[in-house]
Amino acid sequence: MDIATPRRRIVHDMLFGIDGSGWHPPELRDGIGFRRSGPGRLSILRVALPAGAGRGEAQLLLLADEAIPAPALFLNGHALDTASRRVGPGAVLDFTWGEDAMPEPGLAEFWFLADRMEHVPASGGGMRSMGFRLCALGLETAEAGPTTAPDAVARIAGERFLREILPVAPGRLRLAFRETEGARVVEAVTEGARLGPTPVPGLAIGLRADGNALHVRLGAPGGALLAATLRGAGPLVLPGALAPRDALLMARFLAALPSAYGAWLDTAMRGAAPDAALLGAWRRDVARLARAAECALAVALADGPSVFGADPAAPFAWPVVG
Amino acid sequence: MRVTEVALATSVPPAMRRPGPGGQDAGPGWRDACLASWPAPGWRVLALTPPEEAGDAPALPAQVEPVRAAPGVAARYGRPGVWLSDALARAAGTGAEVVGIVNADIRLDLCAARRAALAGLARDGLVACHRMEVAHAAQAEGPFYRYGFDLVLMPAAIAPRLDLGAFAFGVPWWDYWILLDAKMLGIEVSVVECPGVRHLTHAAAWRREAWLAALREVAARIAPRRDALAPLGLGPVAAATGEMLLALPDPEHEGYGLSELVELAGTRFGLEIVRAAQRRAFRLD
Repeated sequence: MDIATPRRRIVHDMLFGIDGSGWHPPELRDGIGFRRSGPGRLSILRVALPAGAGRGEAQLLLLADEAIPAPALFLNGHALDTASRRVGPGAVLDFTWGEDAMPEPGLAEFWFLADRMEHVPASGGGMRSMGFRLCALGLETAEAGPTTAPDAVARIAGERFLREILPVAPGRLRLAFRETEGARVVEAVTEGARLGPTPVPGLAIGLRADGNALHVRLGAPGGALLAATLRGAGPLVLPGALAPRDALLMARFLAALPSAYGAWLDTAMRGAAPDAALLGAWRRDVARLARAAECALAVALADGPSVFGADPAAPFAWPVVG
Repeated sequence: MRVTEVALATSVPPAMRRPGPGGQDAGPGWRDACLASWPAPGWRVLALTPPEEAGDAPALPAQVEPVRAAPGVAARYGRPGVWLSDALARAAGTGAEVVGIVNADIRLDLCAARRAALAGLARDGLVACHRMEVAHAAQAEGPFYRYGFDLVLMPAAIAPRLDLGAFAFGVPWWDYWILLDAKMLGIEVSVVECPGVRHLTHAAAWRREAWLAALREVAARIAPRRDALAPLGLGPVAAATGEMLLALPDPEHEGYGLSELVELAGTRFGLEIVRAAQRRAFRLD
C-alpha cells in the first residue's frame, strides 16, 4: 500500500494580526478572510520559521473574471521562483526556497511586490491604492521540529545574558542608496541608537558592497570611524581600537541591522514603488553581515576575555579622532 | 473476521438540494456520491436517522449501516436531528480504535494511503479536517474552507470524555466546540487540509437565532471550566472575547448594541479556536 505522509504546515491567516507592513485592514467576505496589499507596491510579512529549505503557497482571492495576480516574492531578500494557478474562485501562488534564504531559525521576512495596483474610492473620501488579496500563507519546511529542551535552556540563558550585559538598540534608520563605480553603497543615519547604556545620537552607518566584500563604517559625531570588513563568508574583523566588551557591543549592533532594515522598510515603503532587486540585495548583505557579527560574537564569548562580570552600566568608549 | 479500524457516524437527511449546472438539482446525485464514498476496508459507517424521519430515510448502500438515533433533537431545536454524543457513542460501540463524525454532504475521495494516514494521526489525538470546496462534482481542485471542520476523527477512548450534550448535526458551533473541549481536556488537536475531503459549494444556510443559541451553549460550558481555558495560551483576543461571552450570556435583554457586540465577539472567539487548532496543521495530499 502506498503511504501518504501528512506534512506539517505553518498556516498564517491574514484575518488575524500580522507582523509586517503594506497591508490594508483584514476583511471577511463570504467566509473567506483576506487582506489587500497596499497602498505601496511592496508588502511585508514576517513569520517565524525553522531553518532550511521549504515550500509554500500563498492563497489569493480573486474577483469574478479577475486575472491572476503575479506578485514577485522574496524571502529574506532572496527572490523566489513562483508559479500561480487558478483554484476555484481564487488562485494559489506556489513557491519554494533554498537553505540560503533561511539559514537559521527566526523571523522569515517575505516581501510581495505587487505587479499591479488599482485605485478605489475610500470610505472617507479620496482614493485608496490596493493590490492583490492575500488570504493565507501555508509554509512547509524540512526542519524536523523544535529544538530540544537543553538547546532551549542554553538559548534562553544566552539571550537573557546578551540582553542584560550587552544591550544594544539599532534605533530608527533613514537610508539612502547610491551606486558608485563597481560598488553599491548605502548610507544610513540612525535615531535612538544605543551601544550598551550609551546613546549615540546621529550615528552614521556606511555600507559598501564591492564584489564579495562588504565594508562597514560606523561614525559618531566627534568620534573616530569604526571600520570592519567582511570578505566572502568571513570572518568579520572588528576594530582593534575598541575594548573587548565594546567590540562585542559593536558586533551585537551589526547583528541587529536586519531587524532595523525591516523596520525601515515598514515605514519607507508605504506608497512607494521600490526597486525590489536592490532592496533584496541589501537585505541579503545585512543578513550576511549580521551572521558574521554573531559568529564573531560567539567566538569572542567562547575564547576571548570574559565579559560575564562586566558592568552593564559602563559607557561605550568611542575612540576619539587622532 | 471483520476488523474495524475506523467507525464513522453521520446523519443523512431525507433530501439534499444543491445547485447544479443548468439549474438542475445536483443534491440527490451528490448525496449518493457521498454515501458511496465513506465505506472502505476497515472503515465502518453508521447512518443515524432521527425517529421523526424513520419513514423518509434515504436508501443506503449495503456497506452503510442504518441506525435509529436517540430522540430529543426535534424537541430542543424544532427540527429532527441526531445528537453528536449519540453518534460518537454508536461509533465507539463498534469496537473501532478510531471513531469519527462526518457531515452528510462531504464526499471522501480517500485512497487507502490517505485513510491510513488520517487514521494514524487520529490514534494520537483529535483530527479535524477542513473541507475542499468544489463547484461541481468533477472539479479537480478548489479552495479549502479554513473556518470550519466537516470530518472529525479521534481515538475511541476519548469520545466519552467530550461534553457534546447539547450539540447535534447541523447545529452551529459543534465543530468549534469539539476542538476547544478536546484542548481543554489536554487532548492534542490537529488540523488537516486534505483534497480528499470535498464539499459541493452551496449558499450558507446561516440562521442567526440558532447560531446565537449554540453560542450560548458554548459559553455555558466554558463558564465552569474557565480555569482550563487559560493554560491553552489562546492569546489576549480569545481571552477578551471569551470573557465578553461569559459576562453577557443574554445580551438581547441588556439593551442597545450588545447583541451585535456579542455576535461579533462570538465570531472572533470561534476564529480564535480555529487559529489555536491551526498551530498543529498538516497537509495530506
